[in-house]
Amino acid sequence: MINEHLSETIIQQYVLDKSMCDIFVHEHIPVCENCWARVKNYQLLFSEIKEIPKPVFEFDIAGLILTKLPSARGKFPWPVFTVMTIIIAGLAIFAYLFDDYLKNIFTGVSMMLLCLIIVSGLIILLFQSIDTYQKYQRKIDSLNFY
Amino acid sequence: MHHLNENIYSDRLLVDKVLAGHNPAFATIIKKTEGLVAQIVFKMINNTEDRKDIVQDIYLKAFKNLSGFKFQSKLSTWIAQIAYNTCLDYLQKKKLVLYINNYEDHETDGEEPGNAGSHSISSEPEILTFQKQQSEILKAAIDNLQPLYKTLITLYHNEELSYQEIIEITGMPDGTVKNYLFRARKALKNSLLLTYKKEDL
Repeated sequence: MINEHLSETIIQQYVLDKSMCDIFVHEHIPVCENCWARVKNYQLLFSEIKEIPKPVFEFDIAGLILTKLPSARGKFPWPVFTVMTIIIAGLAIFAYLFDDYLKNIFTGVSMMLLCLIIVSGLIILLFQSIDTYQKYQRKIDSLNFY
Repeated sequence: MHHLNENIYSDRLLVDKVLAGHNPAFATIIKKTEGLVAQIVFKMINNTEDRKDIVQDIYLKAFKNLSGFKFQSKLSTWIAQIAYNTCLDYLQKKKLVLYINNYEDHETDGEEPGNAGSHSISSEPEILTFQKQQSEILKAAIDNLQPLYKTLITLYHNEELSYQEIIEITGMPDGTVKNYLFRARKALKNSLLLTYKKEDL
């Protein structure tokens, strides 16, 4: 049993979570008028704060914000479409002009060499993709989104 | 934990819808979070006219950065974090102080058992009483606290958020949040005791 009054820290701790307090605190409070009154004050204070009506905005936020949001479906990706069209057209013209050459490009190349070229190409593409993805993740992680 | 997972699941559905271009889903997000945002804005910003601009700023920022939300917390906590930072920016721009520090620091630092009784208000075993009309006194006492104190008190005791959620919203360390909350409660209790004593005179 202690004879001094408890500190504010202990009083608050007792009100918020009795289980975290030492046994001497549990023994002291019921017999000390001063500390008991301080506990009661905090208990009343906390329960009254819970009852305070919550504030509300006096305007319709959702209505206000929705008018300011950009329309996600309205935009057609014209730059991407233009670039892709030019690339596809270029490849088609190339294929048309060099039709005979392309038909015979792989004739005379052994199957083993052809497989080697394809596998090497795929491995390089795989490593490049992993590297690009890792760089992208690092950049995203370094951004501060609050 | 289960509750948090449920929240994150419903948050994910809403976020996915908004990111897919379904803007009305953002209205649902606003409805779900405006209560918490209102608590922060009302406690940190006194000027009623500025509140409208600030709340719009908060939600437009949330919409713009929604693709960067990583579901590591509840969506409401993330938006509350944006609200807190936006209000903080506003206060700094207006050169208003978030909290008037230190006059109380000396009072509470190094507090020893037994010293609490040396405070003139705490030494009185007076018990507060709250009648219906007196809840206005409590509201006024909270409003008279520093913006940071009243925000923390409101988030913890009125919104019943956990310490962890408050830490995520304010970005302050665990010890700082607990210390400021301790001081805020003490300041509020003392302010109310003073009010009651004045009324008794």
